[in-house]
Amino acid sequence: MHTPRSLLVCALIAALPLVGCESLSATIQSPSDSIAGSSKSIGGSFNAISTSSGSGGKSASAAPNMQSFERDLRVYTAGFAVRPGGSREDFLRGVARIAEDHGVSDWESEPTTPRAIGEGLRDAGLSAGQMDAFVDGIGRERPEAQLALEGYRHPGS
Amino acid sequence: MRAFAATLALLAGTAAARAAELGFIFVGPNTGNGSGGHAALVADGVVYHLQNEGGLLLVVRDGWPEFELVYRELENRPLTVAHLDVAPEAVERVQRAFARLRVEQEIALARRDDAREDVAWLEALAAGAPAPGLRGAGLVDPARAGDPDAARLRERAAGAPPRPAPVVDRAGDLASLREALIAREADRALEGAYGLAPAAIAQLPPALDSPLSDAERAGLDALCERLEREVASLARSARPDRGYPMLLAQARYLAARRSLASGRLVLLDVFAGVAPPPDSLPEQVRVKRRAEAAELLRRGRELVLGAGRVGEPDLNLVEEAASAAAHDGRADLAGPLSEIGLRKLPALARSVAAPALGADLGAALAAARTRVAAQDAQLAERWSYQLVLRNCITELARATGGAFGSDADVTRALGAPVPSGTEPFGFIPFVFFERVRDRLRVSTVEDLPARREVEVARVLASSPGLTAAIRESFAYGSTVYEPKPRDSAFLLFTDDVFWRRPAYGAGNLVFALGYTGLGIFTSPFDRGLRVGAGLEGMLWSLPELGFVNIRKGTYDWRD
Repeated sequence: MHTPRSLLVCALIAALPLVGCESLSATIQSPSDSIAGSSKSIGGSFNAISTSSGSGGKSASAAPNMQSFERDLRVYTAGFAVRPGGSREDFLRGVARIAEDHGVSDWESEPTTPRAIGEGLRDAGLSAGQMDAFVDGIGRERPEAQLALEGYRHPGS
Repeated sequence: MRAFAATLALLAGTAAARAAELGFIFVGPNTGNGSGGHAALVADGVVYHLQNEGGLLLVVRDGWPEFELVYRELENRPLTVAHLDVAPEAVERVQRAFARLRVEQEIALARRDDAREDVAWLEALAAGAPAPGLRGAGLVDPARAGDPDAARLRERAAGAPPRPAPVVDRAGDLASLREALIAREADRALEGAYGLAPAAIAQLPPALDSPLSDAERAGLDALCERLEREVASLARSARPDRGYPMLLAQARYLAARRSLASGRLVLLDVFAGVAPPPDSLPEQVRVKRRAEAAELLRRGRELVLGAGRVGEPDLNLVEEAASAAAHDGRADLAGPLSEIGLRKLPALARSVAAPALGADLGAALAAARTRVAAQDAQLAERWSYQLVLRNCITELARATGGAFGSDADVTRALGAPVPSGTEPFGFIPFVFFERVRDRLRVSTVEDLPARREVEVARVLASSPGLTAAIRESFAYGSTVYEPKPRDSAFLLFTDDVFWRRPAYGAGNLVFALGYTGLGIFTSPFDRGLRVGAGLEGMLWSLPELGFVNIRKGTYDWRD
């Protein structure tokens, strides 16, 4: 370890309470930290959509926000599916919360939603037969059923 | 607009360079709660880290540009990134592990929010007071029933069958009660053709209220068509919480129709109903802030409406930009930094008459309070911050290592098991980072100097010489830094010297002592601001006497 860092270790051990994790509010040391960061967030999102092929559906250059939505919903579905006791309402409320976190209120009309659910069901270990039954339950011919099936068969593609 | 140009340059350069990469970040210390430094993980341009908020460790997800802007530029802290040599599959697994952690936390916090809302409702009902506002109900106004645009929407969405009256007497399940009430309000708004509530609209400054272009008009037409389909679909939807998205779609439709009729853009205010926190920024920073918000709105109009990208997430970004512009450029009203865009949906609330509940309200309230206590206890058990055993480092290490099935899998993917935060002194960010560097398959280590260091180097390159170097080493002489009370009182920068550090620290200590003494006399006029800065100045001078630098100064804005 470098000398300055060794010295810093000694100093920090002497001042343990100061060493802890940063607090969110204290991290925003200046009022402009939050404002500038938030503005940059919006600017970054505009930049991302300007180079993406669209906000819905799946593409190699899908906007980071929708990639993040898909990943979040996928892990949520997988976790929910293997946990006993959750109701349909509980699941849907969770979907709504995750969707709103990504600027989506009408998640039913987002193609990412059924696709991510299909991926999550695969991660949860749903068999092909169980997935077929799930898709039949939705109505196999419906677009969302097909998207869920696609997510199940080709996760992350 | 230089600030925005810098944003774009950063996005195009630095962020892109980090695509498909995994790396650990060490953030150097500075005054405040960052005195021990900080550690984070970057994966494909997204930064994951944990922060202590109110005793809970929150999982935070930021874009790399925002993270770099705040920590390196504004907080003036050096970053060191250890890039790992890993396969893309490993990066995805790590990202999924952090997504799992974040979603788990989000859902747990949502449950607690629901329980708290139950208590607020029952307290209001028990007291005979109006029920708390329903989310989104304030976007439309019953007093403006019969609005021509709303009537047009009702006609276009006519395929929707009438819905049965929702069951509303459910004291034991207030979340369902609220959902049913919002759905009923959304149905009433459609049937009664409620107009847009004036308070729901973002009031743009006249300078930004430019006429719609032909492309924007076409985009708004497409938006109206999409929203007509959406409202019809939500009216038929079986999802229990369909009311809020339906109200939001109606309000957005009304705003778009009004835009087309007036030739000026009308957007919903995502910050409507939010009490703004105090704004203590100097006017010159506010000017820059307003200019940046204006540029964001201009760019949003062009990229989203002008290009016909009228999907909901993209429209929401334009709403956010317009709302920031309408609120003096403040994009922070939604709360602290959030991931990729603020993602704050318009949700102005309005109280509606709640049904009389048949249940014993006293007993229901007691049960609801017990649920809140239980949720708080569960959150504390899972997420409470503990200095050594559960902190930002232990959880960062646990989530990264946990992305893989076994130690053998981690070793294959990253070169070795992730250093545990519970190893001796492993909870100290730079100790953890040193172990990452030593043990994992690190391909490169990148040092990203703090902003002041970069700016001083630029100044010295353009005007070399001892005079400039001495001038820049003084807080009160520097051309690239302005002293601020929040940085504590100090005279000399010690982050870019080593052997001279104790001597500089002694100078800083004496200066801070004098500053404190002066502050005693000015405290009736500055509420003790100088005394506080002076005392802090003495505190942060002490490590400098032992060759350790923590204080570096901070910045208000980045051009």
